[in-house]
Amino acid sequence: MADTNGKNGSQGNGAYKVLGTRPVRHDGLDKVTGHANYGADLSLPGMLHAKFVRSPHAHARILSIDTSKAEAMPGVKAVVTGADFPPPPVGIAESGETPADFSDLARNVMAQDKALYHGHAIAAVAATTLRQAEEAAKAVAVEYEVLPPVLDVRDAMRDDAPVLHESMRTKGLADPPDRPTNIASYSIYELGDIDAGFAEADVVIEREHTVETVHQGYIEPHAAVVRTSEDGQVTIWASSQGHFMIRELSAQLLHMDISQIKVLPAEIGGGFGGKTTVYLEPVGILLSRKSDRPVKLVMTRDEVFRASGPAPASYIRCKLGARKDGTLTAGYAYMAYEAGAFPGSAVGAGMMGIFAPYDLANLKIEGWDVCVNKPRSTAYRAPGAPNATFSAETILEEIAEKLGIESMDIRLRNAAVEGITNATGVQWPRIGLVETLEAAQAHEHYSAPLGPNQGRGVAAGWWMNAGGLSSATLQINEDGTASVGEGSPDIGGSRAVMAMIVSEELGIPVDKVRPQVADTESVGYTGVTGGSRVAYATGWAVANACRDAIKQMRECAAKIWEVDADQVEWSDGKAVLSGEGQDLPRKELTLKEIVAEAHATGGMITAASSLNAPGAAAAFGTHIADVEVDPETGRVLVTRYTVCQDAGKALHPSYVEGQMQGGAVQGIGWAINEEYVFNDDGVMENAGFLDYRMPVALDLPMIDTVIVEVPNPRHPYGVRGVGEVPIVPPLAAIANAVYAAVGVRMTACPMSPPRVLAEIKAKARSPQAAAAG
Amino acid sequence: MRVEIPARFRTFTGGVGEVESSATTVRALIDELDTQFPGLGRELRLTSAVAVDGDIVADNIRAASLRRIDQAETILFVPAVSGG
Repeated sequence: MADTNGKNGSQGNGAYKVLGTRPVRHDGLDKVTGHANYGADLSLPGMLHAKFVRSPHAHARILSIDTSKAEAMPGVKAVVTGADFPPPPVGIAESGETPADFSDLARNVMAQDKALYHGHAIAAVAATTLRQAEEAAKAVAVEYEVLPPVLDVRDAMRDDAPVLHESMRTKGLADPPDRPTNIASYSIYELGDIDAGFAEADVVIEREHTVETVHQGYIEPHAAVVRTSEDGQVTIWASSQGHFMIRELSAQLLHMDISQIKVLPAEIGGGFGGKTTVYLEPVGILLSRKSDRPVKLVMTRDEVFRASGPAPASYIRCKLGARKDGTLTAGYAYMAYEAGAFPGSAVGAGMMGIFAPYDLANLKIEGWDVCVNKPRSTAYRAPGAPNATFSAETILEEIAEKLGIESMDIRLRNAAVEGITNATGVQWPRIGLVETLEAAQAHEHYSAPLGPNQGRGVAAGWWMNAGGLSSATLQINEDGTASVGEGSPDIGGSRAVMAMIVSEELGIPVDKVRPQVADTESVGYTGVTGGSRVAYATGWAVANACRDAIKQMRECAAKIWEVDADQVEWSDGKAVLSGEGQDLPRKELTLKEIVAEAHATGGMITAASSLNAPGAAAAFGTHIADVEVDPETGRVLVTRYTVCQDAGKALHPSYVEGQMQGGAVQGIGWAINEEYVFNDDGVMENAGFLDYRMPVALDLPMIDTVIVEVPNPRHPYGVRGVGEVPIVPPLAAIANAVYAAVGVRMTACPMSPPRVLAEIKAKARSPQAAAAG
Repeated sequence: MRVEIPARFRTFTGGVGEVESSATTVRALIDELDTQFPGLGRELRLTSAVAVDGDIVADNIRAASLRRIDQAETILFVPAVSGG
């Protein structure tokens, strides 16, 4: 049996019977036949429909709100504004990579004195029909004093920039100016002596890079149904990455006891970090309270783009130095990230990631978290890391070219390994970067021939991964089957993985295990499905519950056989009394036979486990991208793509591969197409999938995957998180491939046709081109 | 034991990058640092994981709060990372 405390090694390369296989997911049939219930699918008797009133201005002071006309309209049962919210609690709401002050969270859910982005919620109406709610929302009269918006991180940092929050002073500066600013915080990492490091370098390259605002693009918009009872109890059905998160944040914002709120998790149609906070549920509670009716709240796609958290745009100035042999000597990064309307961008994680793959003894990284008049940024798959890696990995490639060193060789020469101190001052534990680089280098793709206007690029990337609080329950049923409940919403196939763990531990077929995502009253507290933590932490909780159940069943068998429990072993789904050396006959009892004796042995077998999973080890990936660039239009077409990634131990390889492919595809979207386009007034002009162009199957080749398994020694099965790393390298890998194809170094994402074409034309006009021609 | 204060927290310590402490648990250490440098304890609780001798032992301060500290150890606070 695998080590249960994770301290004494693992069976990460152990011989498993179930883990590592590819059973059909238990929830698959419901999903492909349309029977699965998502957030907007539920309807209750007497249910009302909600519609938000949203700011038509990106920056405006709210002078007055008159709801009287709307309240008098047919079918309208309740109207809510910021005045209906109690004062927010003092403290920080922990959600994903972007923690928010409760005051900010409350003002993001519903504006108070100012509208801080186009689409900011100003009021909400609940009416008998959605049409009535929409009409009434139009009748809410809001008087604004329109203010100039600021939409770019560098503009927002200027002394003369329009200021979003009059009370904001920069945290983290030793002596911050005592005047309003958009710069929420400054932070820094330093190791060694960068002046000495750069002095030692034979080649130093410094570049500026920008990445635009992008959205997670989940297919299912935010949705919830809220019902309040006369006794004050609240029931919420919602699609989210954490139903415990919804319960906790709603209770905090509305000054309720957590026990007054029950949240039932609906199926979730994607989240990628964007559903790790609340937008609808607290408003739904207030509307339901006022109307004494259940209320359904569903965002439109337009609202999802304008009013839910995108990933931050960024400006990065990065500098790397290396000796002639390719050894990196120093690195510097100035990183400014857009937080959106409220502080809390993922700049901190970007700072951790920018040089993470490399052994860099001399480094300095400065980070700025900056407010702009855009929706508050929220976590998006490896938050902050894609922006950072785009910068460092493209500069590294430029250094390699200058020094005449092959791409993979310079990465292997500098690759971080166990014992190396990273930017945070911590030594890496066992990590698998080198193994992913070697896997990529050995892959047939890496040396395959290329055609005209085609180029190949590589990049490596990192993500830390998380552990955290997770819970699980387990029941052995009367017929010897098992039911397992997890507290994690299932986004990436976790129900199947939990069932596999039960199957592995108990020794019963995986199709005899029924997994479910349990509601907030049926399983212990569990953090959000984020941070690549579910298979890792919740899986660990399931394993512990199984081991508890096995202990109980051995004790039951011992009672039946009238022996000590220590004499009973668990093997292949049975309690076994070997009898060897004990002068006893061999005996066996199956699960079904054991629970059949429940009346005599003291009751049914149930187990519950909660833990704060430690030791979530970092994961790395190396990507190979082939592109073809049309020199006439600047269009970049990805022609081949391979992802090599360390998964520690792939519990269900199909879902690991799916994460690797999905992350890569999203990263390709960042690289080539995706960006919020704002007009000068701060209005997003492409708030729909027709104009916000995400890659679809027709745009892409099959994404090839290579699962590398370097077991995490601290996890019972050797698991590392896999969901986030794959979005990190694509921006840089594609930029490097574009350079290889047409000789232009792209420093801005997305590398859309106009941008690439402009660079191609600029290169053609350059003196070097003229001299050559 | 020796406690390293990362650069990002040195606005709380007036630039001090290293302190000595005789606290016997992580919780006691945080309380002691907060007394010595007001506001630092709250910031650490909200944002940090704990590393002992360069090795992360807990993903957040709460998880490490009852961990006993050997006086020969070096404590370092690193960012708590979750993700999307």
